[in-house]
Amino acid sequence: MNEVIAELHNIGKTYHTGKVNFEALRGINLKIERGEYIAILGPSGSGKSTLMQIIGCLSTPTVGSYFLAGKEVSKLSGDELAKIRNLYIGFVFQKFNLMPQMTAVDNVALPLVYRGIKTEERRKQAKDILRHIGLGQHFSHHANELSGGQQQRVAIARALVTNPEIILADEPTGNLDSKSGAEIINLFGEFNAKGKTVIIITHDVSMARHAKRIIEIQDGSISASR
Amino acid sequence: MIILREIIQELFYGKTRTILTIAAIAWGTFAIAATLAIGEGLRLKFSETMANAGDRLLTVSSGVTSKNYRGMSANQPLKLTKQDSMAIAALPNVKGVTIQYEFGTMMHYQERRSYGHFRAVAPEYATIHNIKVGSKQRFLSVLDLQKRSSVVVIGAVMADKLFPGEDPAGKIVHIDNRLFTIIGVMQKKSQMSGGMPDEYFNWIPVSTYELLKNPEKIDLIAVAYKDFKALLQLKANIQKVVAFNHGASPDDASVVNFSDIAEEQEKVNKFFINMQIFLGIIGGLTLLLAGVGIANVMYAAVRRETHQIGVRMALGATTKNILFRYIYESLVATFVGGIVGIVMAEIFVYVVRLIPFKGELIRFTGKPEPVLSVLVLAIVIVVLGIIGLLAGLFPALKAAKIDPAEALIYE
Ligand SMILES: Nc1ncnc2c1ncn2[C@@H]1O[C@H](COP(=O)(O)OP(=O)(O)OP(=O)(O)O)[C@@H](O)[C@H]1O
Ligand SMILES: [Mg+2]
Repeated sequence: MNEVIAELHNIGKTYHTGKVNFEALRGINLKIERGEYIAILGPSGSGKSTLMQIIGCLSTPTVGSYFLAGKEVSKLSGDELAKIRNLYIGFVFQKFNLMPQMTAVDNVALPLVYRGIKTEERRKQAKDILRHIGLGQHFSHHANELSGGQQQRVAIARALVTNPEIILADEPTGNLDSKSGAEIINLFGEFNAKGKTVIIITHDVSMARHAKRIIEIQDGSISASR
Repeated sequence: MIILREIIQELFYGKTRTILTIAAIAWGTFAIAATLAIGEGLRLKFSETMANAGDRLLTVSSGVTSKNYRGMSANQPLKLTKQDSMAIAALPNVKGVTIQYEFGTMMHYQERRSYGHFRAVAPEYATIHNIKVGSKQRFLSVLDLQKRSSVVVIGAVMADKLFPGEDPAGKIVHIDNRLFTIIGVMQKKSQMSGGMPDEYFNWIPVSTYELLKNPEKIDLIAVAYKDFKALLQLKANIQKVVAFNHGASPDDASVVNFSDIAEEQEKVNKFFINMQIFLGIIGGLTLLLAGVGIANVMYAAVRRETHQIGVRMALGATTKNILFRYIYESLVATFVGGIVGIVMAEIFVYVVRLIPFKGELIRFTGKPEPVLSVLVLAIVIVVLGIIGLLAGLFPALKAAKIDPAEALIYE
């Protein structure tokens, strides 16, 4: 059995909007081993993104405890969580979320800025990754000069540049045509083949089929895991 | 850490915002630097002008008794005498004493004539009042005084009236039906105090006047002194000595009148320093408004960039990273605007110096020129720094408080 990289114990998340409380997650128990390829599947509003935010340390659970790389992280401060995200997590978003004013290289190098790496070194690392994923000709292009598929590949390069333990992707192909989507999926497969953990959130069953484990969510609870 | 290149990219990405912000700061900087430069220029010009009226010179003229004292009744006008001037010359802190008479009369040259103000003075007058005559001319000399010569030095006003387009030096004129030789014409100088400017006067030797008129009172005793700090003591001593000579009460302050140029200069200087402070506050307020403008623009930027900030936080940006990013941005904008404003102020100073000024006042003072002194620049830079810092700080604090999970949903 592989080492456990993330472990969720009885996680619940309640949103307070005005006087209304909404339980987006309840009683989530989940063990994720290093090197797993997981798809989190569920209908809209079921709590997939909320779960991803907790796994990715973007927010903390209302109840329960969460261990990431052996450390309890559910009660850490914002800045401590920022450091953990930078160290362990690579995010890929549905809308790419590139900085429009920056070139591809600078976008990819951005997480290394927060790691305190020197300009030359981080640009070199960013270029290496961009070349590796076939964007060697697009170093100084801005987001609006790239196709959707290319933008998402830049975003994946940005997630990979820190060599994280876990790639967390929320509907990464949602805004792409099927060919570009397939290329993205291939990149995840390649990363997973190197022994890294990949977690993809989707409501697309065909997408989920690439994963080795599928976790289904309904109304904030895990309804199936296979 | 955030690098400058990124900040500058960022600034030029939101072009309108940046240009507006920089323009506001540039204007504020220009306003504060230009007003301070004008104030500084005026202050320097005026103190130079005041110095021309005579340094460390106390003039004493006669007053009126204000109280009854041992047979001397109140409201008696005093007449200063030679005895008074000799007694004053013997006081401590006195460098030298000259006496002076004033009178007004006609001066004739051939068929031309003009009324003039005259001062009968000693040769030292020229040094004390910084009076210069043309080349190959001279002011009254010790020899003139000894020989009681009939010589006169005329002022620019008399020269213009009696000798338009001619060289007055060497010409013989009538003053009060006596013949005088013109030995010099006073050169123009800037002067703003001590009553009527010197160029309205004409000067003859004090001894010549005494010989002609046998005056019963001295109009003015000019006392050159050594130490400004002991001036009050000197005034008190002079008042006592004069009161004693004339049998008035030793503590009657009104027996003599003083006019003191250093003191006047001090007052004018204080006035200008106060004016500088006032102008500085006005300029500072202008900059403050520009700073509020920057803060608003930055707030709008933070609001617009909420999603971006969320992404940066997801990638590992800490509170500090976000905070510094906006403070740097504000400081860079302030710095660029400040440079533009200072350059504008330099150009303004340069252009004003080129403009020829005319007018009565300027004729006496010389042209005041704005001065961008090191002090003015230092004040501007410190104020700019503080404003840039504060204008960035508050929006930056707001940015740093953003919750990444919510910001990522927010489009
Ligand atoms: N910040 C929030 N405040 C209040 N309610 C929220 C917040 N975020 C999510 N919710 C609610 O929690 C529920 C789950 O949201 P979540 O975004 O996790 O769903 P999802 O499964 O990702 O849906 P989708 O497939 O549409 O992205 C939704 O009903 C949503 O309205
Ligand atoms: Mg979602």
